[in-house]
Amino acid sequence: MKRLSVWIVALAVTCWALPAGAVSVAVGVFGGASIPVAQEDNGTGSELGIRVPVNVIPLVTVEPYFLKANGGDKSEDLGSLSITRSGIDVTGYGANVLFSFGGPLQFYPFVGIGSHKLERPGLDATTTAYNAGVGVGFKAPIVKLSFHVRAEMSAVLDEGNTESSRKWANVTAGVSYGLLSFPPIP
Amino acid sequence: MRSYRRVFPVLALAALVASGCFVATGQVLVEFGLPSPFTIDSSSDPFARIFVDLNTIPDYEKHKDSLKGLNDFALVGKFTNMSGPAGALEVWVTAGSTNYTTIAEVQANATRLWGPGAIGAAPDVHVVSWDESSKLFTKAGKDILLQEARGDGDFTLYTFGTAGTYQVKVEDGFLILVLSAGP
Repeated sequence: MKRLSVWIVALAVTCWALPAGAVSVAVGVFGGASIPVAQEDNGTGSELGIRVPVNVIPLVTVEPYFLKANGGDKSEDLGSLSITRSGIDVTGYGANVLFSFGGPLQFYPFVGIGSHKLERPGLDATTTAYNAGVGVGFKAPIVKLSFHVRAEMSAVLDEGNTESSRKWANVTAGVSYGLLSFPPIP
Repeated sequence: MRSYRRVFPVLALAALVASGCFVATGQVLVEFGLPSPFTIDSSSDPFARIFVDLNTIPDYEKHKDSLKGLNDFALVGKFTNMSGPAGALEVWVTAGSTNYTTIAEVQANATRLWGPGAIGAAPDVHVVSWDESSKLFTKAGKDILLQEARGDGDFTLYTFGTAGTYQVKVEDGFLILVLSAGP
């Protein structure tokens, strides 16, 4: 049900922006640090992913994504023992909506929703994620490449508990390649 | 342009309101030290009864009025099989302070919280890790812990072996709880 609702929201966001003129589609990869926020049982890890920005109207880009993050271990000294808890690994997909300002150098806040799976020994939960952040992008002239740096806060609801979430601050860098443009630029 | 500038904060605000401000919560680590060492001996003292009062933990006291859930649990420590065959340990829980006197009474009235956690034949020494331990909790036991953590923080643990004959020493035993707390 949650997965269905994520897709419905992503589809609704896409349809909301579709009745526009030119459409461009790109594909990108990104990677960076995934830093737990206020999580005393989880450590800093890394994140990698792909995204497909679809620019539907001049200022709005809808961007489906898929990501994998490996959480860092967390150690605790208890008595004479040093106890280690494995970090939380995250696999997720969803869509962000970017509101872009600027020219070749763009600034864009974004919000999004996804379905993220959290895994470590004793934890296997799939639940809804809410994303919000800001990014800076630079579109290279002539070649169809653009470069991006983003800071994002991702809050993943606890399974079966809408009052509580785990949060990560993700700092990533990425590159996108323009695949298609409709109508084609002469 | 102006309308798009309005859309972003409105969407963000709507997401927060719809989700009940879950964003403001965090995961707090709380540790309760078990008596160290304690020994369970099938011939003389077949189980250990441990009264737990979470109110003795400052971090729990600080956050108990704003608990939103329980994210993780573990029972860790150094387990030494002093004599006897390979076997396993279990931990059972009751709400509040109880004082059962036999294993049969415990099994009839309490709820299995954790285990069985395996230990080799004497003189095996097994340090139960956080990862290993977190997989051994039962759903029913977790529900009682959550209820107690949100209640008066007072419950009783019973630890005993599953083999017919056992003598196991537990050192540096800790109950670890990861609480979800927020405003």
